[in-house]
Amino acid sequence: MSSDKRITSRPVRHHARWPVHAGLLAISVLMLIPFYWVLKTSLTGENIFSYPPSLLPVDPNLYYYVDVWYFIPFARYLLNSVVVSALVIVANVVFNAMAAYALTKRFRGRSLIMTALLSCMMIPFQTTIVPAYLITGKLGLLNSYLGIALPMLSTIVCIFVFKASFDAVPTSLVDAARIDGLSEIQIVSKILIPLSSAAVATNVVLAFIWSWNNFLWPLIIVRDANMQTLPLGLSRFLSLHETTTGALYAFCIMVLLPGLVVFLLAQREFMRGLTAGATKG
Amino acid sequence: MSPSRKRIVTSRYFMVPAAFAVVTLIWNIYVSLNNGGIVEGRVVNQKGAAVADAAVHLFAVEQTMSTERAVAKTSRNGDFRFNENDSHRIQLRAIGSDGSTSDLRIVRLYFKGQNIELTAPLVLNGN
Repeated sequence: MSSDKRITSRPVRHHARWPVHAGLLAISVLMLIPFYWVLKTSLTGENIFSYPPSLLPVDPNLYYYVDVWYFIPFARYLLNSVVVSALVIVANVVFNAMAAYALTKRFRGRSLIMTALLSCMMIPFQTTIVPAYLITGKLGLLNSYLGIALPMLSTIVCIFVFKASFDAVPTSLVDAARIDGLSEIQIVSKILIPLSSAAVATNVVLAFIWSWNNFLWPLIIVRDANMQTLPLGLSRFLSLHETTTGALYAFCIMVLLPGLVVFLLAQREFMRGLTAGATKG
Repeated sequence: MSPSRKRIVTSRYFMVPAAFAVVTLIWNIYVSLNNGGIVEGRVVNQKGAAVADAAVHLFAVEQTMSTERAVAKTSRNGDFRFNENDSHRIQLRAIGSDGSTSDLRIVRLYFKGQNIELTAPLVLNGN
């Protein structure tokens, strides 16, 4: 009889993970230092050029946030930014879903359209500002919420995020829905979008961040001070109060906070939406 | 409560905005109960004795300058009171009947017209 070869399993060697974690922690701290500095200065109003700099806030207070609230019409700017962002988010979800659904179909010229969309992604917005302004003017939307939101109502990146998510839905499900008598719009709204929560979250987060932080387009088409959004308000505040560092940094924090909250709320779905389709099986 | 409604109510997309709304409501209630515009304090001399009949000037700080809004006289106990402050950032200076003045005290409030009682008195310095 042949001798049995016993297969002995080697013990699994666990490499220490703490050096990797320590390195990642150090890099994270390095990345967060500017944000911490802005937050610290907003609480203390100290001179940012003073040497040596103090690491911990000295006599922190919230009075600079109060100054920002009263010295400029912050509530009005906030309302404008919220309205524009809401318009952009709703329009993005609706239009991008419809465009992505169309791109999941096989039709003549589909590859040409996709190539055109991908090519358009490489054109910087600054080169199209003049025609965008003329079109917005012809539509009578200058100095209006819809005019501010117009260029951002649909984004190509988010169309492809939706497309990747819709491609993962079995066609048999869509066919069954069509047999049940659902229209194409109903298929998108009742079948595909509910199954693509990650893509929806990605659209919402990206649309919100891009519209919230948009400066150039509102700067060009807004005429009335009451229609300014928060980034414009921040620029105006900077021109009026060059030396009030505390209040300026408090304004920065107040502008950053909503975007941060939205991202933290939807980050799980956002990361899932970005990585959907990255791995097979 | 149905399971779907319970799921909506306990999800973070509802809880976080609801928490913000509750905090905002509580803050606005607190502001409405405490925005009488009352500023109270006391004027003393360098020895700590109360100074009567001193004039306390209240300045409201605008964006780049301050403007005088009101003047109040101290009582026998050195107390003064303003009733119609509508600013969130004020300055106070006391001037005694003998011409001595206090340092300019900067008072910052959390909202316009917040009722406040100075913890430290205004101290008149000698001429």
